[in-house]
Amino acid sequence: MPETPATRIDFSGPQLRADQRGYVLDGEFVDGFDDRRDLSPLARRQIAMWADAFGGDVSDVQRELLGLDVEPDRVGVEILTAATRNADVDLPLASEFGLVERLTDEQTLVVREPWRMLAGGERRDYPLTVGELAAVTGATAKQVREWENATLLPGYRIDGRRQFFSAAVVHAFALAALDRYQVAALTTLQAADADDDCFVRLVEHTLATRRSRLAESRRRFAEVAQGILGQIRAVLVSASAEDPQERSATPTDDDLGEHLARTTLARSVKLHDAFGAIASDDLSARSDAESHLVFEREKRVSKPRGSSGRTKPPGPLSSGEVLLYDDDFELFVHPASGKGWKLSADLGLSVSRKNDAVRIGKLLSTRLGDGAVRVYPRDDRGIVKRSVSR
Amino acid sequence: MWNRPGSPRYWFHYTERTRARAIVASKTFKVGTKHTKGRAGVYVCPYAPGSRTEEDLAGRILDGSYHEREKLRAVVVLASGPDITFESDPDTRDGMRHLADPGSLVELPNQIVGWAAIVDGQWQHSLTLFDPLALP
Repeated sequence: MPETPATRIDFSGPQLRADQRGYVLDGEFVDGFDDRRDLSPLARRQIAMWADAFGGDVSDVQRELLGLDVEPDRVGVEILTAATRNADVDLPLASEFGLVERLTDEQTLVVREPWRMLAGGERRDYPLTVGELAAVTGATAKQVREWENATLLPGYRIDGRRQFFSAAVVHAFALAALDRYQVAALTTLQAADADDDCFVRLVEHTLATRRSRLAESRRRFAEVAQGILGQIRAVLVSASAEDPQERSATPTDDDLGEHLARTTLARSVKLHDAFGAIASDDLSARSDAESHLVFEREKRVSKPRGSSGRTKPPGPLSSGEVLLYDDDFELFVHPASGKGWKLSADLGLSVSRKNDAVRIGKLLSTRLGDGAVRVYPRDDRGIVKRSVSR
Repeated sequence: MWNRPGSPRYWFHYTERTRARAIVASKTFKVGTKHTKGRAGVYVCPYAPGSRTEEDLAGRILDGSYHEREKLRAVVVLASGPDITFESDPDTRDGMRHLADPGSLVELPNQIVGWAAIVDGQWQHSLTLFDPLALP
C-alpha cells in the first residue's frame, strides 16, 4: 500500500478499505461493518454485504437489509457503459486517425484534466455537459450541439442529458480548428447515403487519389534511401578491401562517419576523372599519399556495373554536359570551368525525380547562363542515355 | 508495500482514468466488446502504480501500442476473492484474467478496494488504499 497520503480521490458513500477490515466514509476510517442508521438504505445494505462477506457480526437489521430488493444504480451503469466505450472505442479511434497526436501539450492536459478549464470550487470531472465541453474547448454550446447532432463527436445520453467524455474533447478541438465549410462538408458526409451519393463518391475518389500519391511518394523515398545505403555500403566495402587492417574487420556504424568524410573528397576527384578534365592544381594541395588513396578508391568505386553495381561513365563529356547518377540520387555537372559540381549542394537544386532530364537541363541552363546544358540520365537498367535535353 | 504478509493479495487493472473512476463508483466492471486477444473478461496484473515505467508497462500489458497509452494513467485495485477468481493469462508474462461475456457486467463490491490515477503528473491514490495505522 502507499505509505504517504496524496491528494485524495474519493467518492461519497462507504468505500471498502484495502485491508477489508472496514471502510472509508467521508474521509474517515471506520473499523468493522456495524450498521449505520444515519446512512441511506443503499449504503447500509452495502455495509451489511461486507459484514457478511468478511466474517463480521451481521445483525438482524442487516439481515433484513440483505433481503431487500434494491434498484440497480441505473445512472451509474449508464456512466460506466459510456466510459467503457469511450476508453475502448472512441479514444483509440481518435488516436488512430491522428487526432490525439496533433493535440498541443495544453490541449492534452485539458483532455486529461478538464477541471483546469472549468470554474467553480468543486473539481469537475467527466462526463461533461454541453456547456462544459464548450467551455473547455473554446467552442460555443451551439457548435457542440450541432457537432453532436451530426455525430461528428461522440456523445452519450446519461440520465436523459447529453454527456461527453475525453474523446469528445479531442474531437471538439479538431472540429474547432476547421472553418464552417469544412464542418459543413463533414456534416454532409455523415448524413449522406454512402452507396448513392455523388458527393461521397467524389470524396472517396479524392481520398484514394491522395493515398495513391502518398504511397508513390513513399516508394520513391524508399528507393532513394536504398540507393544511399547501397552507396555507403559500396564505399565501406571498397575501403575495407583497400586497407589490409580493415579487410578483416566488419565495418561498423562507428566507422561510417569517418568513411563518409574521407570519401567526400574522393568523389569529387572521381568526377574529374570520369569527365577527363582533372585540374592538376586541384590535387596539388594534398599529400601524395592522400592523392594516391583517393584515386585508388575511386577506381574501385567506378567499376562497370556487374562488378560493383555501377555503370561505366559514357566517356569524357564536353563542356556544359551533365551526367545524372540516378542510383546515387545526385547530379554532377561539367560546365565550361571543367570542374565537377555536386548539383544539389553546389547549385542549390534538388533532384526529385529520376530521369527528369529536361527539367534538370533547363534549370541548369538558367543557373549557368550558357543555355547549352545537356543531361544524360540513366534508365532503370542503369544504362546512360545519350539523349540531348535543353 | 503491496502484498505484505497478512494482507490480501492485490491485483491491478490499468485503464483510462474516467473509466477507472466509473468502475470504482459503481463497484462493477463493464466488460468491453473489443479485446485485442479476442477473449473478453477482466484482465489484471501484479504491477502496482508507479512500480514500472510507462514504456515497460506498455510493453507488458498493451503490446507496446501507442494508441492505448491513456489506459496507463489510472488503475483499479482489486483484492483477491470472494466475488471472482483470476486465472493465469497465457498471453502475458505475469497477467491474470477472469473471462466473461463481452459487454456483460461483473459486480465486484467485495473486491474493488480503491483506485489510483495520474493527476498533476503524479500518481494519486484513493484514501482506501492507505494503511490507517500509518496515517497521522
